[in-house]
Amino acid sequence: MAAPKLPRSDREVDLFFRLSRDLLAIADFKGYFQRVNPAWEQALGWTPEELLARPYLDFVHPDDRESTLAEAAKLTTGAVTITFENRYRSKDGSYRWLQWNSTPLTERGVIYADARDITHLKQAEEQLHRYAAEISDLYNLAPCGYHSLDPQGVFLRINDTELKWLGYKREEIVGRKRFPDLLQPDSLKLFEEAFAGFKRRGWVRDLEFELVRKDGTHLPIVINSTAVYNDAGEYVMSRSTVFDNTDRKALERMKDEFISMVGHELRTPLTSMRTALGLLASGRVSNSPEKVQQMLAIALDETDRLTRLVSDMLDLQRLELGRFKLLPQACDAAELVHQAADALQPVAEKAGLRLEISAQSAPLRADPDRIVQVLTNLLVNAVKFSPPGTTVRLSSEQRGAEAVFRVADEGPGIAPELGERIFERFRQGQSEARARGGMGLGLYICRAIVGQHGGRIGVESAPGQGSAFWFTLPVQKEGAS
Amino acid sequence: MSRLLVVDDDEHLRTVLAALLEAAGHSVATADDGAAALERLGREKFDLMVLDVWMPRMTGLEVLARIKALPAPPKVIMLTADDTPDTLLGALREQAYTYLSKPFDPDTLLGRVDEALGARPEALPIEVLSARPSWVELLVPCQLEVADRIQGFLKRLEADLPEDVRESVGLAFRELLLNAIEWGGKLDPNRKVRIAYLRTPRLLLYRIADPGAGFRFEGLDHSALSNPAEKPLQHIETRQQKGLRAGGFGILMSKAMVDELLYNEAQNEVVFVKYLDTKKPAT
Repeated sequence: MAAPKLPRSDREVDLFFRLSRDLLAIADFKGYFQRVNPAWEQALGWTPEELLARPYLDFVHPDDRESTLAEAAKLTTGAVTITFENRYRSKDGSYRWLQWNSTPLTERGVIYADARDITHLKQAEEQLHRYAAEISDLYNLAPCGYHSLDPQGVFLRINDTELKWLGYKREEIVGRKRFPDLLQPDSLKLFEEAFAGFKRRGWVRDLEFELVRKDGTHLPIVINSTAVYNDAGEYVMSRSTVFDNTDRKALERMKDEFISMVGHELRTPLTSMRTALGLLASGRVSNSPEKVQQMLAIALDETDRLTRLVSDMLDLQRLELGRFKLLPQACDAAELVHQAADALQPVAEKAGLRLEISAQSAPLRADPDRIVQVLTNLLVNAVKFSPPGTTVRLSSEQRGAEAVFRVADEGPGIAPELGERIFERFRQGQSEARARGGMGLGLYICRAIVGQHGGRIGVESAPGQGSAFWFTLPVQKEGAS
Repeated sequence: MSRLLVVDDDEHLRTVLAALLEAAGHSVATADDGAAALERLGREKFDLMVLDVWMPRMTGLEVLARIKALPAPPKVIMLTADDTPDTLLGALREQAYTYLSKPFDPDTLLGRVDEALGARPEALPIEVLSARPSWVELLVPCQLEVADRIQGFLKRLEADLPEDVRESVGLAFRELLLNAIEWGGKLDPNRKVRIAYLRTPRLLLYRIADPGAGFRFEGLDHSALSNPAEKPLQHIETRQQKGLRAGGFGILMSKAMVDELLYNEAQNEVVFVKYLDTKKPAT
């Protein structure tokens, strides 16, 4: 089809229409394109004929049809369209985002429209959103608290984690509270000094504070911050990370308690030894061979007690470092029970207790010294907590694939709320336990030894009902070595 | 022969302490816990009790609190393996004579026992006005031996401080307390000196208020403080003339030992401060 001969100005307009990089179209009020420029084919792949053959709505993304119809209806009333966006289907089935500017000529029933492919902008925008969401996720849901403080110490922002720790809503904090408003009164001074220095220096490391939650409870934290300055070198805000320090504080407390307990446990035997030996050295008892013997016996006993304490602590050290080595060999449950009972019999007798043994055989592959150590530890505990005249029962039996050992006493029992915690490090059952001595390492060591053998350990007890500690070891199958 | 009761749940310690005290010529009975001790004390009279703090069923501090109801309670020497301020202040509050932490030199125990047995009965008890580790406040009778006891207790509260700090503070406190008891209280056991010990992370503050009318530095010719520069030991002669105990370096020495030393206008109250943070405040 030869192009109709047009006047020069019309020819130029026509050329402009055909060369435009924008998608230009003339549409009627019935929903059809009347004319489209070649840019359409470049953008969507459809030929002008294909685009003109169907209502343009056919090409619009189903989700955008409603808004497109509304926009078209608006145009028929004479209103112009500015930057309306919808998606058009390309010939390859993908969709392109188009941004429309359109002007209707109502008296002629046509719309002059130009559209621009903004798909790349949309994609960039989407990516930006995704990125922002990712950053916000990293900020808000990080496993530590984040916040920023302005020069007055007022919160500029705070993340969800820290808000959750504190029990506040963001709007209660940001722009409203100064960081020191959340502090324990006695750390206010520390904060003001640290904050002034921080603004000058630009960093602060491992500052410990105690925050007060909305419900009034306390939260120990560690803060690290760096400062943001503007071009003039003035402090703008902080970037602060906040870590929950509860566990570390608890550990510190436990360590302190442990050290004082070790102190206590070492000091009493040392005092006895010092006094006994001092008395011997002074010659004040040399006229009584009996007294001399007694003092020597006590000094010896206390030496053994200190040795046991030290080896418990070394065991603990090895357990912590994973250097606790087992020397497994074939042995029998009943034999181990008898060994432990023989060792403890004199102690039980001295404490006025009856030791009742019921030893059933079960073939084991275990480190016999370590298992006897566990049994001895449990027996020492039972003896320590039993009133005179009561019975301590020690037994072993085979139950299926397991050997079960039991040490039961008729002592005061263990409060149920203590439960499994008595097997933790540096735990003692009751305040009375402290008075009775013991460092709270025994059960922890027992659990570690039994665990390394592939067994389980537990306790059945109620206050006033005595306690029964038990542990299991896997039975050695016949013929296996 | 004095009657002594040794109370400790540790059988060995009980045995060796009894042997030690018997060898020193005392008559000794033992009890293995607080309840047994109280029962024994209800039946017999003892001059002195050596009492462990941590025992099952009833702690030594509880025993101490209960014996005050006895018609003639024994003097008490507390033994403990922990030096926590709570235990220490508890012992002080309940009028323990003194406090030994394990392990101790047996001779030290014997010395303290003799000291306690020989001590005059106090005209007035030591009153504990505050027993917080950060604020201890006491009213003590104006007796010289009380100064040593109080210093013994307070020294333990400073166990975590560097030795040089403890030593200088201890010397200053002792001198100033002796001044208060001797000059302010005229060694009158019916009058009292008020002592406050305040402890913060950054400073240690002592305040000693005596019941006297105060003094003037001008009249202090028995003190090294008033010596003319060319005769730095003139006060010693003065003291000999006046029949005073050797010493008199108190205020001068104390000034050198602490960071701040202040007297009130009447000069019957003294406050001194030792800074605990290494950097001294800008002056």
